[in-house]
Amino acid sequence: MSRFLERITGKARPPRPASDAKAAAAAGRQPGTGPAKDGSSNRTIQPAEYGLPLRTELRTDRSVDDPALDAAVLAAKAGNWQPVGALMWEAGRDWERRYLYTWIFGALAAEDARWLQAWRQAHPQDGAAAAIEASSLVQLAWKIRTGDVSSKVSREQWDGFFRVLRQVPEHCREAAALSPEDPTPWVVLLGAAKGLQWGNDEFRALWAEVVARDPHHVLAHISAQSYWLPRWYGSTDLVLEFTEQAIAAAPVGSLLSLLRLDLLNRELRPEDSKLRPAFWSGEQVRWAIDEALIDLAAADPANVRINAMRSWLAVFLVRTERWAEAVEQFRAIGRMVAFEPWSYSTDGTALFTQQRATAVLGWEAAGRPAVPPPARHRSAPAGSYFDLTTPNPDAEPVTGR
Amino acid sequence: MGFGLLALLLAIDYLVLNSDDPSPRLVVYALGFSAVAGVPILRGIFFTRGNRMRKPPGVPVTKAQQPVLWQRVEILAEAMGTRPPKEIWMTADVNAAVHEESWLMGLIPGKRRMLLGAPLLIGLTPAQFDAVVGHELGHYSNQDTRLAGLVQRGRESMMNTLRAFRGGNNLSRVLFGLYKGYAERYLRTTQAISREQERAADLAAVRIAGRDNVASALRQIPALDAGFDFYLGHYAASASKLGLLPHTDEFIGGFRHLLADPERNEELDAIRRSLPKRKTTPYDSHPPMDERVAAIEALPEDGRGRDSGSAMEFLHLPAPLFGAVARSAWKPENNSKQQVDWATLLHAAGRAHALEQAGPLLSAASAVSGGSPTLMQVLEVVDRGGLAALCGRLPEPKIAKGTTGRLRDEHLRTDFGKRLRSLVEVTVADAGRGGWPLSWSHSHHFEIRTELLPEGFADRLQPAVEAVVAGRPSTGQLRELVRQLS
Repeated sequence: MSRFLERITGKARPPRPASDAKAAAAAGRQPGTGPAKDGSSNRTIQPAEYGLPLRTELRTDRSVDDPALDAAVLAAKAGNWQPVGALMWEAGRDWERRYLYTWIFGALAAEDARWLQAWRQAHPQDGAAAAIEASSLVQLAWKIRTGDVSSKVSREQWDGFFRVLRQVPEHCREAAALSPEDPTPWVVLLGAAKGLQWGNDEFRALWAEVVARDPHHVLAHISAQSYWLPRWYGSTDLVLEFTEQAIAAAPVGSLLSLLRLDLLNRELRPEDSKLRPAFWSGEQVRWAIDEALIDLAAADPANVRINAMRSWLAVFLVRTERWAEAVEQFRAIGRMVAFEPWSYSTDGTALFTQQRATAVLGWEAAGRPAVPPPARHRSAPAGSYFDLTTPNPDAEPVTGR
Repeated sequence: MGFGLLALLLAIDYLVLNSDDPSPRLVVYALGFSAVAGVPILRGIFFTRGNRMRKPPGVPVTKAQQPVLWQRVEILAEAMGTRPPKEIWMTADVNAAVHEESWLMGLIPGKRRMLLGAPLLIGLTPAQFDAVVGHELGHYSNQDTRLAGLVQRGRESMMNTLRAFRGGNNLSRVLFGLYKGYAERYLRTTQAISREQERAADLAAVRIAGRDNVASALRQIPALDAGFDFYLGHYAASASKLGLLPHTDEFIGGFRHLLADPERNEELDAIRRSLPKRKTTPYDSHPPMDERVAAIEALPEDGRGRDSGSAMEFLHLPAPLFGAVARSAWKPENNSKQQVDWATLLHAAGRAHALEQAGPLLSAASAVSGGSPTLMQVLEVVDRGGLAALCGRLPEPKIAKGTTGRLRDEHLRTDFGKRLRSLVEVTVADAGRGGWPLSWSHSHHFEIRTELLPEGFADRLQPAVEAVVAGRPSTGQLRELVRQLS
């Protein structure tokens, strides 16, 4: 967790997040008697004073606030598939939402698939159920493999991982045949293709199936972007090309510019932590944040991925000490924190509250500045990673120009 | 105790090497560990036991039988300024040692005897052989062998006592406290002597064989030790339970094939390159191997370089000699076993290994259905919805322990799939369409005789097996492939 914090915050020693009880005790009160507070033990905030939800109100189990979804999950756990079927039917052609639900129910089915089998038997032609089954296999394969680094995965775990993953393409093709317009089965297959070590050409053919059905599917892009990372089956050049082409092809408001923030954080930041402050305060990071803010402002507020964009922005705005804008994002995020980047951490809530407290305290210390006017769209800074007309600067990132 | 430790190390190796890997590699990490820890233990055993034993293990090698070997040893002894041994015995292990049957606690010199392990002759170059023999003769020239036996025996029994007391009850802990101080003092004092003897012997060897050959010999010994264990387990003794052995001359001599294999050589290189650092105790008789090698490699360049070839060139008719060594080392029951060529032996070993894997699956199918224990019966049971029932009757795989739900189901199916694969391999082999061919790079490696089968058979085999244990089990593909066998 602390290593993750370091990665996400860029700080070598993040302030230690304290539990409510600890924070209360530090302030000389009995645990549980004072209002819930966030932040490190000596720097705390009262979330309610800033119109922010209390720590106890945060939800880390779901990324969208949707009572129908909660009800369907409960029903599935009780063995009843009908509310799930109804929810999927309501999601209709909102492909992003449909994939999100498919993933959530796929995770449930990876634990216990009896409700899903009943659904499949009752309606063998239901493409939504078939896609959920395929997604459950992908997630089951990863449970078998475990999230450990590959050198710690045992031979038996690898055998099971590949054996289960090899069943996924057939299930995806079956689901795709049942609902030919739906990109969901193809997006599920993206995740399996990475695990199955598909070659670049095969992967590109699969990608063509995805974008033919939904050209700007955010989760599909996140999944494919990771395939193109140097650590998987791509390179820095290939992943930059993929990212910038996707963003350029999409209308403003697609939220795809969050790909850039993810990439800066995962891949482009310097290995050497001493170089990082200059990197984060550099021009290309400022530009990437500005572009993402423009994208967010034009997005549909009902987009299920909107909190992911806000969360990425919040982390980047805290990192670059743009306090007013950071606090604005935390206000908008509200209480649903089951998103990357928070979900990358084993204790997403602690990461979230710690980042949120830092934002609010920074904003207070700066004298509660107003949110600056939005930047205007610009092209990528010349010579930066994102300026594809020049060779990428690789280990020598553009800093503070 | 030494034997106990050795047995433990071999047991660890055995576990690592028998983890159902269809083609066991010379598992470098595990073997590297036991090899380095194992060398001093082996030596320890021979040192103490050898001194007490009137007849050492192995066969005596006379000057008339092996003039070149004797001449080499005599030249080395002369170069070291010491008398050559009275006897040379060839043994069946990775070991070289000198014994002296001294009298009156070492005051009166006795008969010197040299033990040479046949695998060393196979795996060392001539100059590396000089280095090893030079090291052993270095003990003579430093006049340390006569008392060394006594010192070593004392050390050994004190170590045993210390180990026996450790982890005892309260009373023994009190007694241990009384003894411990004395024992530790003795061990520390003699340990310095013991280690100093080793260092002096190393330097003596460098004078004879040259720096690089001594260093490479020290690196080679753990590699040979690991390699020879592996060779015995996966080749020479792999079908012994089935009553099959390689020809006597090949039982030890076959080790040269493994050493000549480029892929195996790469694995052994990993051991040679990185001598794993061993935790040392103040009681070790030898300095850690990495320290010894580092000390030798730090000596100035002597321009002698490294040689190549095999010390087997010192032997007249090595094959029958190795055969005689093998017969002297193995238990009497091996004399009645059938001797076959390598290809026959490894096919039989591969088949037995696969059948062992498949055994529980066959029994489960028979128990569930009441039918005969055959592949077809297994598929019948699966077709009748009995996959879970079969899985439940197999020994629980380690990976499934403590798991529940679908995760557990999949772990059980993965294990089922591996056993089914083995059963299919036996079926294919028994139809004369495949087997476990002789390969020094891969052992227990099944190969399909594609030229005798319809195109694509080999590629369809694993998917067909996996279809049987898929979410919706299907036996059709596998049945079709089995039909193509007849």
